[in-house]
Amino acid sequence: MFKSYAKNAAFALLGAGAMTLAVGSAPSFAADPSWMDKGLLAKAKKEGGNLVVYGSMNEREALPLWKIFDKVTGLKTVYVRASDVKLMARISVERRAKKPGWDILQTTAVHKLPKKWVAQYEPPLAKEIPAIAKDPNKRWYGVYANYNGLAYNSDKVKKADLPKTYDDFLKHPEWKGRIAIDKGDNEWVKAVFDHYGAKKGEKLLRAIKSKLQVKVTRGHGALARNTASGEHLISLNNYINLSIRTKLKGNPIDWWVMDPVAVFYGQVGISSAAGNPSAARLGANYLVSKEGQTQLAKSGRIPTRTDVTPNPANVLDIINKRKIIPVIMSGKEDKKWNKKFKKIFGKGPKKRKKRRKK
Amino acid sequence: MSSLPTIPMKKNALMRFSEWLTVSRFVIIACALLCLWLVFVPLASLLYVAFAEDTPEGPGAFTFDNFINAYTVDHLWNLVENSVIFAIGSSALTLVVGVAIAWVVERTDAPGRSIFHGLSLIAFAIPGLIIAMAWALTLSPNIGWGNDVLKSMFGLTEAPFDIFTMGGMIWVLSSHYFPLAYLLMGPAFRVLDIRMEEAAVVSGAKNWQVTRRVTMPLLKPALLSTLLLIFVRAIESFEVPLLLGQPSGINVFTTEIRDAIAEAPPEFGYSSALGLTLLAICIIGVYFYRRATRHAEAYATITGKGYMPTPLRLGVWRWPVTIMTGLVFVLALGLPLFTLVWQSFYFKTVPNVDLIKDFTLESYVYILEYPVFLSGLKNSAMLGAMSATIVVFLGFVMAWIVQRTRMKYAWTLDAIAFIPIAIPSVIIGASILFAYLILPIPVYNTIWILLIAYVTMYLPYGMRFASGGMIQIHKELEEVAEVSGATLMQTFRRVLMPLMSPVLMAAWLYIFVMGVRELTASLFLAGPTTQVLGTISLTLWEEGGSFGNVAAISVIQIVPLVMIVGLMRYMENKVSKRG
Repeated sequence: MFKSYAKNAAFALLGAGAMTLAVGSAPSFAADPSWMDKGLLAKAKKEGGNLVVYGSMNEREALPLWKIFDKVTGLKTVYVRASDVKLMARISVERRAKKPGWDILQTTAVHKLPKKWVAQYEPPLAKEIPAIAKDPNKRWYGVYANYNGLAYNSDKVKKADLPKTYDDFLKHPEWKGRIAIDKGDNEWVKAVFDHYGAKKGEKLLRAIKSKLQVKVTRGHGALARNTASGEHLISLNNYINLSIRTKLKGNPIDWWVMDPVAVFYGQVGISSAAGNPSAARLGANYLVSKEGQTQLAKSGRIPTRTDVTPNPANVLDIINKRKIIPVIMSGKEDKKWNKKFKKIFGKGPKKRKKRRKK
Repeated sequence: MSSLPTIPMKKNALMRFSEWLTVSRFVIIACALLCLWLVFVPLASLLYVAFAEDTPEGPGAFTFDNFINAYTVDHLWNLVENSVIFAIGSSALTLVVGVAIAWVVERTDAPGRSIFHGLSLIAFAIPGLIIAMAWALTLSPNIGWGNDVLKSMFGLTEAPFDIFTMGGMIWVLSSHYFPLAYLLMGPAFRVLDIRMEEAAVVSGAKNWQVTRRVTMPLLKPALLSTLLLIFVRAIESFEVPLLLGQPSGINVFTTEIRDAIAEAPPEFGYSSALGLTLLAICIIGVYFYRRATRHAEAYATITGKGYMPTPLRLGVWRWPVTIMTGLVFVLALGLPLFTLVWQSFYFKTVPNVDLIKDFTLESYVYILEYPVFLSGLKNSAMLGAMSATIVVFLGFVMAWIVQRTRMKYAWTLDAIAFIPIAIPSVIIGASILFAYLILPIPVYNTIWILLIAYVTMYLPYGMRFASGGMIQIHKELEEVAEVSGATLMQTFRRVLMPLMSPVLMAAWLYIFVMGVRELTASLFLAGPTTQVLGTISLTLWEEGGSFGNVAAISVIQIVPLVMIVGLMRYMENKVSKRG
């Protein structure tokens, strides 16, 4: 009797040991996540087992995300982080050098790249992404939604004083010089024009700019930090997820929305000259998966999948009460609305012309 | 048969050449060629790109469009206006403060002079980016703790200072550069023969007359050369305009060039055309600097008398002068350092005794866990060490060629090695990027492209140090070695190197410090795996890292740099004792 117990225990131990080894050395033997494609993984390993991701997401969010991917696949991801504009500049420079370095681009500007630079590919899980958040030509897929909203320093501005419409801003001369906007917010300008009409929209924005001396700054992350620190009282526009992230860290910042709410997407695209194409395909599938987006939602990113709960859970309920205007601009449109932005808000941290004309 | 006679001729020429090409000559020629390559390749690429059409695949057909685009009158005027006001203001203020400190340290018996000298070296070692960040946190009109303190002290409703203005920029750059002005002016004060001033006093001149008619004319060449050098450094400075000028719309050449290349798509042609304008301004400045320095050397013959200058006795003014000088350092160095240290341990931006309990190491933990920090630290240290070693070696060899050989055009090497002083870092970074995107040399995105930039930038400093050191060593010593049968290599290794080692070591440390704190050129050249401390710090600042994180990464950089400064001071003492 004892012998049979001992024998069973020994087998059980052996079995447990073997399972531990199996899980440790080849995690894919465990229940595979929804995004796993073993055929693609095998190919990726044959191609070198690496993945180079260029992304605009903060390392604190992106690295844990890709760590999960690496742990499950055994691939090695190199994450290169910079702002959208800098990533686009880097990609252009690398194109000149004929040394494309990226496999996956994960930023809000994939759709602005020349078409031949981005591969057409549909990750199997992309069918779960709403049509509005993906490219019909299969070059990019929305990973998270960048809803544009306003933010304020909750220590220095009373919630009751917050404007209900953009016209209300003109009733607050005390905020003169303390309101800021990022120099790249041309999508928001387009949404305001679409909502109010070109003439009224421009008149309104010009009035806000001139009466409140809106500061034009660089970097949405820095804008959220500086609003929380009190350098600015209000962000005239910022990505809601960044305001949420800053708030989740315990900073005195909160956000609100008014009509219209511009939305565009943090997208994933695969390089047509990817050095690790199979790893890139697997990575893209991971980003549009429930697991990938659940991980991102933890830090306040608003998922594009409807089956992933955002954080805080009611964020979409608040946003959806407003008029939402999706803005996906081509490179050409982007330039046009950039010019429009600069015409209204000045060139901010960039060029300033005609100052001498007076 | 007829071709036969040519074979022995070729052979002879080859043999003669191989006999002539000893190892030492090979090294000398290689060094000279390397210098030419380092200096002219980026300049050539800058010119080429400026006159070529900008296409997504690279430079296209010949065009003037880049110049037409860049030289729109209003736009150019705005940049020139801002750049020149900033440079003139900064160089003037820097000179005034630097000269005052030099006078106190070198010509008076005020207590604490040695400390002031050490503090100047520390101020020099701290990266400009860090200083600019610290001042933004100190004197921002909205969140600067300095303004808050003044407001509560004097019951003000408005912040008395706004650092995001031209005045703020000028103050910050001057507070960072005045130690450099002091270090440049110090030797001029040291060698000034006090007997001339005494003679004037004996002849009945009043103090102001002595200053105006004796001291100032004697110092004029050194003053002028320092002013010009600081002007060039100010007009090419990048960090202060980026952090403090751009938020309020004040653009200068350097920020404009960087923006043009960081755009999507990058405007290479436009930035090259602008770069050429900035280069022209700097070359004019350096041309006059060289002229002024030539005069300074003529005046320096006064020093060949072997005397010890008597310090001016300040009497009752000894301590007041020391306190005033100390206050300058407290303001210029103490305030920003205090801000950074405080901010690195606390989340609140305004220091307050009540907050002491909120002490946290979270920012340091964040930085130490920050994914690219350790690789950035390693890259910066490696680049600093490698560039210092190469530059010191090149400087040593070239200084020897210039001073010891009878080569007819040896002086041109000195001139070539000096050219990079006129090329702003922003242009070196951009032009090296252009060059190695065109050339089939696979250094893009590697640490080697950064090394090329660093060596190019610091070449003039290596040359100056080595030339200065070599002048001190009489040629006789090498001649004795040669007569005793030593080869050139043996003479280098056993005579020159040991004698020059303190100078070379000081040069190495100086260049190492500059390499570790480098930002501007690295911004253009650092790749995904070759980020350096400067680019990481700037990314944290620009992309919304918390102020605590930014302060912590700054403090982590400053501590080792201060230790290196201690080492520099030790080497300095060693050199001066030998002198």
